[in-house]
Amino acid sequence: MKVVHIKCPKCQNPFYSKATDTVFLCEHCGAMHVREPELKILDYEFWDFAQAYQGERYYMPFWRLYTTVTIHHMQVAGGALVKLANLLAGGGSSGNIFIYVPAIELSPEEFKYWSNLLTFTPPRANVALKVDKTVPRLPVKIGEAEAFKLADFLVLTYEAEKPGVLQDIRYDLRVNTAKLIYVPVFYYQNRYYPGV
Amino acid sequence: MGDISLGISCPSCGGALKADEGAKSVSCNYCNALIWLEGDEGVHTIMFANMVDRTKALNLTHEWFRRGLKARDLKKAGVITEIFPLYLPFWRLNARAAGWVCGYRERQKYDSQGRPAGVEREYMERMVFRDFDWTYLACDPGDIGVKRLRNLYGQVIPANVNEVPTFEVTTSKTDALNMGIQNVHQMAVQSANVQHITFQKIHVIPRQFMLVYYPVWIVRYKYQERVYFATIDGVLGKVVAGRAPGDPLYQSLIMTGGSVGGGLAAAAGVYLALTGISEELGILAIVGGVVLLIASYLFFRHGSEVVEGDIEAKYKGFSIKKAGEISSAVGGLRI
Ligand SMILES: [Zn+2]
Repeated sequence: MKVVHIKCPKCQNPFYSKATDTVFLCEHCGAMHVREPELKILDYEFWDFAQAYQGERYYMPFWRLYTTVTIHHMQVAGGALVKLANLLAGGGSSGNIFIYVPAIELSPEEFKYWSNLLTFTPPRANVALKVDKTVPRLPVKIGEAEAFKLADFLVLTYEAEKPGVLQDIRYDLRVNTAKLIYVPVFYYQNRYYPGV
Repeated sequence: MGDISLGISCPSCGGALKADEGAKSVSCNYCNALIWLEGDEGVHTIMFANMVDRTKALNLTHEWFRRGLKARDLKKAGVITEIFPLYLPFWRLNARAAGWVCGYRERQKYDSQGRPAGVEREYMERMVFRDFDWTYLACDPGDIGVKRLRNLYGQVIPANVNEVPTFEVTTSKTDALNMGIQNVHQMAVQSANVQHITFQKIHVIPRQFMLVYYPVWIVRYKYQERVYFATIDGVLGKVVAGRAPGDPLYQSLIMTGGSVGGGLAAAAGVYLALTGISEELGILAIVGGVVLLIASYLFFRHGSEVVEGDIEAKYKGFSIKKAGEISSAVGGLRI
């Protein structure tokens, strides 16, 4: 087994930390990187806390995927008129969407809650210019590749949950960019609440 | 957090590193250096404590002798020849399935007089979004009636795989993971319960993949010069699989019932067909009668044994040779 002391790929600063995570944020130059499946520097941003709430403060990571969805064919039973993708600009069969995929382990219900909240009602959040280092980051458990699969599932869910009963669909989902977004949250009585 | 000593030292301070097996990064307990572990990926391994001792295993076997349709004198005439504890390695995959299954179900419609009035389609779109557990035996212990884990919880103890009687893992990690993903996919599609599928897309995202060393007791016993076995779950403390001699009385009852019923149905069928009351019904009754006769015959032939656990339906001579071999190998160790 090869054993290496983790260093920042950008500035070579060695990492010291009690907490383990699958993403590594350099305290020296601010670069964030992953080492699996391959070494890669990640695009990320932190949002500012805008609300006061009871509980402990955390940063919860989400993959924000900027995607292009193109629907080639869709067959729906029962619905009179099928509205393709409300989400897509102008109701056409192709469009761009930001999809938020939680990057931590959540129950299916919480997963849906958080991805719907941020995808459909994105809060007006300010990008934090200075990250509050006293607030812990929840470790990333869902990698970028898994986030792509979950985004695909979410797109399918948006289509299936429209009126009528989906019988067949052919579509493409292209992920243009991926960014890790740290959303401020409060942890109170076993639940996370948005802090934006 | 990890408990397992990796036998390697921190490249920064030289302290001994401890981590969970299969972990990719670890923090040094002495200098806090973050360490990346590369290559030679281990498998996360856990082991459950055996809560059943030899006396309890014997008692459980004797209780089991008395239960069900087993030979009534099994408790007296059954002689336990071997009883030994064993650890069985199982692959366990916990994965989240996320997707949709679309299609329809067909239902026969009837009019007010009960006559068939066409087929109705009920369209369905079903979301599958939940976690599934898949387990499968990771070794080849011969026929011991256990292929899947029925229980996933127990008292976790350090996995000293080299110090307990166990079987070598025979499937590779990659093969097992692929098999697990395929099985979870299948379980997910089935859970949607759509009769005719027109569209399906399900992503399987592995969450935890590990080897579980699970304790069992293997019991071999003799009854009328034939060898049988029982497998005891060492965590739950109950017999989960086995073979046992059937009871001749129950068998003759079933045999008699089967032939009488089958014969009557066949005779009624011949009568119906010959008298022209209903030829179709008659033929149906004949076929039904013959099937019943064959079934009772098969039960009598092979039903002389009672089987429990993951034993393939197809009858075949059983061999617990392998489990027997290991018992002699570990004989001095644990029994
Ligand atoms: Zn750096």
